[in-house]
Amino acid sequence: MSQSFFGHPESPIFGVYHAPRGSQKNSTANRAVVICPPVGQEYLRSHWSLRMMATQLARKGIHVLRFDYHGIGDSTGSVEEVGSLDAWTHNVAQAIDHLKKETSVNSVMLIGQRMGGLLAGLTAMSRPDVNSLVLWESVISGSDYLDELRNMHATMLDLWVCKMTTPNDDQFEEILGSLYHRDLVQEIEQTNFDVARLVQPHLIVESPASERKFSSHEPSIQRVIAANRDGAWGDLRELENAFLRPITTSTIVKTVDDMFNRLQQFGVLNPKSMAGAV
Amino acid sequence: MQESIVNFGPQDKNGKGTLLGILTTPTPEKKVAGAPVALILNAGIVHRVGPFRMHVDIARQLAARGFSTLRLDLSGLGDSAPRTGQLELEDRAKLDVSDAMDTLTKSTGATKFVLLGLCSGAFNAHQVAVKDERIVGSVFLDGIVFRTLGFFFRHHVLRFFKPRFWRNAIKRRMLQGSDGDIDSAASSLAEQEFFGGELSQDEVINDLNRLMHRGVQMLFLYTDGYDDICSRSQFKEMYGIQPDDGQLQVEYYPKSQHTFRLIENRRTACGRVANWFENRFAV
Repeated sequence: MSQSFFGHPESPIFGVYHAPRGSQKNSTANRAVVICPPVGQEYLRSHWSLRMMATQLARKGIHVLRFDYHGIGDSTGSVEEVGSLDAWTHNVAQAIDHLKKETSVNSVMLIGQRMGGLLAGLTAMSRPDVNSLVLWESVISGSDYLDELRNMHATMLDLWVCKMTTPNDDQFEEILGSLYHRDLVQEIEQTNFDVARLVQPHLIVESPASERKFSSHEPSIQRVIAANRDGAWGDLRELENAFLRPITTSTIVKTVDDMFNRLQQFGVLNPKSMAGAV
Repeated sequence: MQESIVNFGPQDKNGKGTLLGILTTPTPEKKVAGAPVALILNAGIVHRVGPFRMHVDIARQLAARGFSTLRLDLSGLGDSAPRTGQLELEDRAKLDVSDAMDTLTKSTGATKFVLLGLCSGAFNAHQVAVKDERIVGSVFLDGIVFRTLGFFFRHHVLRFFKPRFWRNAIKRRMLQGSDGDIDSAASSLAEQEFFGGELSQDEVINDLNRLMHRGVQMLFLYTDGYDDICSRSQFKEMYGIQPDDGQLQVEYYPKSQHTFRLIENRRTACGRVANWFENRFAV
């Protein structure tokens, strides 16, 4: 595991690279994953879990990069500076470029959780070097996502030891400990990601209670599985509990390994065939 | 201000430290010469960023005032590898912090350090500060407390007269079913994870007197969200030492939650820490 700051020197982003391990690493050297984490408090909750996932993927012989978006975690800046999702999708693109530069791979799989899933999906639509995706309890409807967070925030304030309000003005809105620029909030609110627009093979991991339906222009490239336990992202009591889902994590890791095997069979991981593969 | 990666502790096969910290340093023109370096320890199992990114906020505020800070992951937490061998949690913390200080001494020349920690971080900071004379100051955010008679009166009697207490208790009970079971299970786990060992009140009193004698500067910040304390005056009841505006400073935030969830609370606490640091170490 090695850490680095990469991207633009004026606003570097932090990343952790997990080198492939295990006996099969030479035969899988063209396999790479960029993990796109959630944002806000969900980022903190899932850090441990995504680290575990990265370690397990590396044991399968896969190059893995975890990173923090601008204003999140160890990366530069603060979240209130972020005025558009473009800033974060740009970070996803920077992470892809960084992993390609540091390894021999020509394409990557994106694994995105919650907001990370949305950002991975948006990025994948303009990046032919994304060979596949995993969307883990991903944000699809920005307004549903914000409603969930705002409800938790309102309940938290309602149960505070004294009457309390938080900034919610023309410029900023405080939601669960983070101050978001109004422009970003509005953009998230208006975002409704159409999974059917994805042309890459994609695995969708849904909460067992989820009733969301997904369409695809080519059903054979889409698979939907249920997590073994609810993510409880909207449960205030879980706000500061680590998101630990070892069974779901190992299921995803195994499925990712299968997906790479298939990509290999179809020649998608072959550098020469990449241009026409996705 | 610059942020850089520091690897320290037990080395891997390539000779690189397997523990991780992020060093925030001020611009050369801002840097306070000879000042101690702040070390921020993990709160529970939250990685070096801290609850609600609080550790990053503190480190950057300190850098703006000319001080360097290392936000570190203790072994087995965040992106630091676990130490091999059988070690108690507090022994692990002592070794990890000691290794971090050794590395910073080599790379920056710093010889004096100030610890900062929230909850389990404060517990670890206490343990390390007592043992290591390189520590010249410490900030304890919701640090070690003991219930006193005054606590029982203020906490269990006075709050029953507050309508909001009853209102919130009922609302919590109604909130999505079996709140109590989950809370108690989580608390039990947290307690085991956070506090590897226990200290008696007498031991803590002795430790604090030793730190006072050594001239260690201390700031204790307590919040309403920490169940075992409910006023600033409890500090003297617990430890028999009267806080002042000098070496031993104590504050109680009645509107704040344990992990400073709200930005307003967090800004107040971060600003207080930065002011304290500047006042105690800028000269």
